[in-house]
Amino acid sequence: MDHEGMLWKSPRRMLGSTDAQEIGLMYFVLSFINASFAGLYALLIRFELWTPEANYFDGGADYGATFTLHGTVMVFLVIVPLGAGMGNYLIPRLVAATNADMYWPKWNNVAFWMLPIASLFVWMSQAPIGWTAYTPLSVSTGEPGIDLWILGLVMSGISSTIGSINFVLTIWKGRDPTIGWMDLDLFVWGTFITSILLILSTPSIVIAIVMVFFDRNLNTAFFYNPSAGGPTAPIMYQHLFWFFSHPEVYVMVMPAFGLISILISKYARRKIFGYQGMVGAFIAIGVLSFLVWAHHMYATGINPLVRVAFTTMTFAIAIPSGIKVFNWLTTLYGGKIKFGTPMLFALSFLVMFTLGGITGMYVNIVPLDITLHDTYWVVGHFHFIVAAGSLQAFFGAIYYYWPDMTGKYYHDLTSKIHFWLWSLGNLTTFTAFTLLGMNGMPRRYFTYPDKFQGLHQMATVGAFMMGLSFIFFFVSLFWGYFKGEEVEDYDNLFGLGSGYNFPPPFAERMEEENGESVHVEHSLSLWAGSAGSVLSLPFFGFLALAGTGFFYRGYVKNIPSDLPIFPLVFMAVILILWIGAFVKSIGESDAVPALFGIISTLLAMLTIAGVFARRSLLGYSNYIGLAFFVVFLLWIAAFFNTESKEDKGPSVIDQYKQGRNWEIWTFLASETIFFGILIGVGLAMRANAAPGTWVADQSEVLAVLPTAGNTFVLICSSFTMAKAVEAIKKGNKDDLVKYLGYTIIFGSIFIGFQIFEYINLAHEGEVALQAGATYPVFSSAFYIQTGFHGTHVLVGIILLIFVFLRARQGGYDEEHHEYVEFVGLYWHFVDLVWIILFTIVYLL
Amino acid sequence: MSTETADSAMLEEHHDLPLLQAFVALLILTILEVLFSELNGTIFNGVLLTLTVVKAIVVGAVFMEIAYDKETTRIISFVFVVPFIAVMFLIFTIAADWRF
Repeated sequence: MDHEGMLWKSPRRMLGSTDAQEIGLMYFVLSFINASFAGLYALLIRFELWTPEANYFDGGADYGATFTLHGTVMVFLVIVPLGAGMGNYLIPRLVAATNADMYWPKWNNVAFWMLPIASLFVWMSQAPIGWTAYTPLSVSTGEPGIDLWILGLVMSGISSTIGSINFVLTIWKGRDPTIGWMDLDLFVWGTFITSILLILSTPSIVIAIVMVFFDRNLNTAFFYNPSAGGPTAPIMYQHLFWFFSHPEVYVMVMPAFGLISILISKYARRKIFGYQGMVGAFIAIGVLSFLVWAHHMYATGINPLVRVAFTTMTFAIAIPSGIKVFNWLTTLYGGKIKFGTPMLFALSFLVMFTLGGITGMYVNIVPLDITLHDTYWVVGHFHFIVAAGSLQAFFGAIYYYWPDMTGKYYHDLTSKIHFWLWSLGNLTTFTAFTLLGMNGMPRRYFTYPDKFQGLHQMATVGAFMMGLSFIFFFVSLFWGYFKGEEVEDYDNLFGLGSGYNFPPPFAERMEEENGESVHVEHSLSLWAGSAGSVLSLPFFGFLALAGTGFFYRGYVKNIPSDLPIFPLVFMAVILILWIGAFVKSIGESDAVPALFGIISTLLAMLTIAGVFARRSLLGYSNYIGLAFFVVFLLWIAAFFNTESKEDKGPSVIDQYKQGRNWEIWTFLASETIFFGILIGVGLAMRANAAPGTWVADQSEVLAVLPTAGNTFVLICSSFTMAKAVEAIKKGNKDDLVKYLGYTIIFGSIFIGFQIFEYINLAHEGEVALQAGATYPVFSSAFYIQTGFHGTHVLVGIILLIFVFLRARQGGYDEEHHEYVEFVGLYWHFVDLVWIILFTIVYLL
Repeated sequence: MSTETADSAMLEEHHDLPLLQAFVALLILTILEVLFSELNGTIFNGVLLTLTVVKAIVVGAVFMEIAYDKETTRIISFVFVVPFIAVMFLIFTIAADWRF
């Protein structure tokens, strides 16, 4: 690692690095910080459960927050980021990426820097609703931290989506063209399938938890609303949640599958057996993982027909999983095995993952699941897969790549102590869990009947072994880093007779084969790093909306007259940092993000103060929230524009970047899912709405003809956008500016009309969100569908403004105009969505 | 707006797109939609949905230039068909399992 030494000493470098390997290392550090705290929470849980009489959680009141954060953080902020970290660290080299980096280096940085802020949100939330946040509990619980938890997860979802698009593009479009699909390392395949799963499934959970947020704060009636008669569709939440969260399980294990394949092959000193079968299994698992989510819902009394379909699919997914396990075993058979620490973790993975798989198959048998579902059996099964499975793979891989990261070997004895403590701890705890489940111990209770005490104590002993093992893990690595043996022969690592075997870097190959010199540069981009941080600040605006909502709904009976000190101090520290950054960078391009940071932070402080102090600002907090959002959009647009300015002329690398529009197409696939679910959910709500909660005829309450006119305006904007692209393709810069201007005007008219329509509807009171609204379910669907579309139009307008300004300066020409095309595709897509929405919401 | 990179624009074939025709078609189809929405009955709803699908196809094919791209099938499959199938599966399940 060229920059590794400098990275940790320079906050500036950490904030602005676009080097995938450096970002990979930062993912590891963040994940292990989160894992340490989430692990401590697990120990708190086990400490509480040592005896049934223990009561360290205020009669159980805080126990819910403890297991919620343990689960949420381990899933979303430890295992998934570890996969992303490994991907960053390895994939550009495993595919000999043409730019020796991820496809979008700057967005890679943004994706990472959203995660520390998301982590902060989740940790601050102390939400007590379980990691699944099932409705109606998550709606009806008046705990403000739940809103923070939701915002943290939305940020984490955006980060995952950006990261996943980047992985797909790096593997698909950014790899050395001489490396074929069937030449790819299995870890690359695992990450590729994982990324596609995330792109296609993340919109579902974002919609689900945003709906919970709206139900809690804006009086919508998606899942639960007392003023609309109580529960509306709480089970729909579970479908939306698991449509994401089941693929998420595979997101957590497929990178681990890839790493295990590397480790087993290396330490058995044999090529992986049945490579094609392994690739096929990855693809099959990817497809099937979308078809099995409802097996998490048998205990809800799910429709029997649906149940049969999902049971069948779930048994089917055992086949590709079995193929993997048997291929790993066959690789070992006849191999010359060396039992180094990474291999021990890999072998332990095989055992634990198989135990996890087998315990999982039992809960796919419906009668058994109804008995076992809400017991510790499921907790045991899940931990066998993820903690004993995925985490072991990551431990093994980190040990294996430690010499690559640092140039030194880890400390062997302590690593082996780590392994045995961890592995035996896993076996002890999770076996106790499954036995507890068989005996009927329910989940999420802070006390229990005396008969369970022995098994609970067994689980606690195992948990503390795991906690202790973490210390040996860190000792082994840091001892290695500071005093470890230097690596002398990278072609004979660990005495295995081979090295990492990365394919030759693209630039080197080009130079050797063609004599062409390829310049690869890992630039520092404070724009990108700051964007990641600034992206988080507008979320405080939404938090302000939440605060207002609580006030209106009467959840908060006695708002304290004093200001909330902690958030304000926190924001004040951020403000001082931004001011410092601004003063230091006056006259440089870095001053602009710092200025954005100052403005956003000030707005956040005003909002928080206003909401909580019930001063006159309270009434305006919604508008301040909106202002945040605009600042956020401006920021995105500014960032977008900066990227363009840094474009260089075509190089030998660019010639291999065929099909660059796939950047936007991949994003639009995710958007199709997003709007598809929004529209589909609206239709399902319509078909099943309770009498009187949905309008009989939309034309009686909505302004159909004026909206038809507005639809025409948006079509006009699409036409002018298409003309703009056509103009620049012919090199006509004046026409480009002209048509972009028209597009902005048409877009603004559209959004202006929509705001006017909202004000009118709120005034009339039929299609509205206040308590006692005539059509609560229709109103909820109407506002979320048209509102999200309007937000997309607003984003499009801001992007267009920046492209317009750059076009006026002559920034695009016949050959270099890809950002005009990107914005154009996005704009047309938004138009296409409206065409469908108009018919479904207004006409049908 | 083909999938070819702008950097290799010299390799790109330029098509004269029927932008104006598409625009006029969209205008007419929108008017027809509003007219049909005044009529009640399943068949008219079917017509209305068909008109909407045709409009969406026109925007995708002409304005987004999917019909003129070298990777038309791949774009349609990845951006529209696969997500659509996934969404349909989810929504039909939600509808079949709707409970209060």
